[in-house]
Amino acid sequence: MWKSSIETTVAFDGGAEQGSSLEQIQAEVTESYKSLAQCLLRYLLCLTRDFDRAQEAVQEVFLRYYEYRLKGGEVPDGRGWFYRVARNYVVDQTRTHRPDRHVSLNEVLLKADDHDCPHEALARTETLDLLFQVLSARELECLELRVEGFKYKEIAEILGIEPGTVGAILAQGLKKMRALRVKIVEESGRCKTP
Amino acid sequence: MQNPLRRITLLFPEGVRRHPASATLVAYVHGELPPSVRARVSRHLQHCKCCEKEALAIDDDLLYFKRLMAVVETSAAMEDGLSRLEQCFESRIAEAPVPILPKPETRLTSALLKSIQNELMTYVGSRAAERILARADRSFCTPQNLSKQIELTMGGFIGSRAAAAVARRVDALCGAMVSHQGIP
Repeated sequence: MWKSSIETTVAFDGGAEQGSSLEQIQAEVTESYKSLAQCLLRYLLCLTRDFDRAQEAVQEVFLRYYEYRLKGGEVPDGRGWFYRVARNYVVDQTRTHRPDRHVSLNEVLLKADDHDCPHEALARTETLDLLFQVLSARELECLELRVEGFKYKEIAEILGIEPGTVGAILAQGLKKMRALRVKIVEESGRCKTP
Repeated sequence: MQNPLRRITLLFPEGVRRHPASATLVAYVHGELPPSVRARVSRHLQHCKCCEKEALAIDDDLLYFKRLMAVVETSAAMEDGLSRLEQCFESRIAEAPVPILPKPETRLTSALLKSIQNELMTYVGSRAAERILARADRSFCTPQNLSKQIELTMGGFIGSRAAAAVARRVDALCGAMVSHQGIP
């Protein structure tokens, strides 16, 4: 479970702040990176569908966090702040640079080469590739945030939508995913029969 | 306020005695429904095998999605990112246009904020006082420029002359606090 290390440092409070040095802030950022970066990367992959862009965005988010902490800012709502900043950054980037909306299968495979069973990793990567084609960015985002344990209200805050809409988007995404799953099972069954 | 009848129609498009909407069922599984609707869906699920099966499949589907996404999880990418981040720490400090880590004595202490809030409360009430100080807090005010910030903010509430008078009072408070702490 991620716990904000920032909670221990209170800005605008003389007593707590005296202990907040540059090294301490760097340690805080590093600690947050270790606990959050993987989740953020997966979320941003859903949003950008591009591994390198997602990785770059993760870097940018933590650098912004570092700068923010240097200025004395504090993050009241924990990890939600990181997801919001990440999303805003990617949306801003997308306005200036229109990305290729299709994730490269080989690229993801390359990143998945440390899995135990290469066949299983390949099958999952192919399914993921199909899923990225079928689901919209918003559906993927909602699913990923829900999988990370966010409540509907938090998801709504990150995406800037009504909490009631989150359930509808999730239902739509799950419906499409189930249809895809059924299709994959049917096709694999057809391949096995002589 | 949303019409409760309309809300029920949205949640149960086929009627209250029929199947709930898929979004309602998903929200039910995730524990995100209000108690009254939750009880209603719960009652429905006791009798409807079809919806019960559907509800059970929702968690399974999310788990399936989680397993698929795990394929992009690599520690190598993260380690690379971490080393890059640490390299960037230094370069970003050089680029940063703002002063880094203001000295603790130039920042607002909670005791000072409390006394200023008490002062402001007499003019604009507790909620407005809290808001004004929160705004100052966000703007990284120091005891030296706080009065100016408060004057600007309060000008809209109580007029410029009165705001200037309040700012002078805040200045005096800050001065007293700073001299009390022995800060030049």
